[in-house]
Amino acid sequence: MTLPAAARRSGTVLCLAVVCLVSAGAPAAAESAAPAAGCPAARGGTRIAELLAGRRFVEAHLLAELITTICPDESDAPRWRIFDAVALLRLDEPEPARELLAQVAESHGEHAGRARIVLAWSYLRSHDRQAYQETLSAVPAPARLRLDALDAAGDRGRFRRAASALDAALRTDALAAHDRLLRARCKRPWLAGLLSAVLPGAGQVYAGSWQGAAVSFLLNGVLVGATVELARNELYFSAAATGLAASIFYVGNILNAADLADRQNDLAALPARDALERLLVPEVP
Amino acid sequence: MGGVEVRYRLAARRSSIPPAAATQVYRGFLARSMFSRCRMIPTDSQLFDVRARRCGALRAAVLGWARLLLETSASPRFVRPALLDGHLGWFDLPPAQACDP
Repeated sequence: MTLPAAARRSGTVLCLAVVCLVSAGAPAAAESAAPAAGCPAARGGTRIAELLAGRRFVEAHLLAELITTICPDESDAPRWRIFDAVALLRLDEPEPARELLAQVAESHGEHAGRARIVLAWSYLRSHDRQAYQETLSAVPAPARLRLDALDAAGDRGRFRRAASALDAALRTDALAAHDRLLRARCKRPWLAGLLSAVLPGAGQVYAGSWQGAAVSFLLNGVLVGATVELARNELYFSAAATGLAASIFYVGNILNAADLADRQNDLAALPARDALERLLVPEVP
Repeated sequence: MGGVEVRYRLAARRSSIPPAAATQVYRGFLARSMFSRCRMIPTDSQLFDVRARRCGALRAAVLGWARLLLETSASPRFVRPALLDGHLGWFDLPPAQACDP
């Protein structure tokens, strides 16, 4: 799925207006900011990095696309394409992002190595093991070790083994960041699922959702009770239909409990995860 | 909040594929009779529709129920909040494999 053309157009027009204003209003400043560049719009390159840092990914993508279209031959154009790819990845648009990264990686320029690292990271991020392993072979050895450590972040033992191959200074920081990550992931999804299997709603209580627990407990109770009552009254067809609904609600309740615990872990660990990624994959802006 | 809203809401409006029968029944009858005001992005019925096509009715029903429970539990501890048409909404993007929870 890609961003709709209308949104791209409107955003592009907006960005074009902004860049034109910047260029027209301060041509001297533009030249001083990028003296080697013949293209005034190249000045917007630093702005892409700022937008990425501010998590304004749509604007970063539109600006990067605009500047690379206006100034395709600038020496910094591959860097902007990498920025654009990262913005697209953050927007859950992996296909166009990987196309951009593959273009830069195949160019054999100074940014090719960085593009390969970001490409491998993108597969790691989307849990595509096979593609990750394939792209990893083209990544320089030190970065491969760092990516391997990030790959092992979900498991303490594996992470420690992977981190032992890193430089001493990086290893110390990475281990500290990983400890923070594990501490933030304090809920166990399997336990939440198990609790809800034993008593519908118990897993939701464990995950911290009392509303979800109440709804789950009541509806499961009503449906199981109705199934038993209908069967006792020999209304077997109705009992089977209610039983099917009860089964759906019961399994859904287990999945929801595990999902809630997992979500809580993910959101609680987001800052620690970002910090670990910044440490291990500094190539990702 | 741009990207995601643009992608899902505009794509849904432009979609030429008619919704599945169960989704039509829900939208036409159940949602109206229950005064449903879904605050999830994409909405429960949009996601159910995708899953019903890809994973079959039974699996879509189980995952749909889990999604409704998630909506009941919606808070910043579990889902990312967003402003949607001036109201509070919740992001819950489906995983790459729409049949996963």
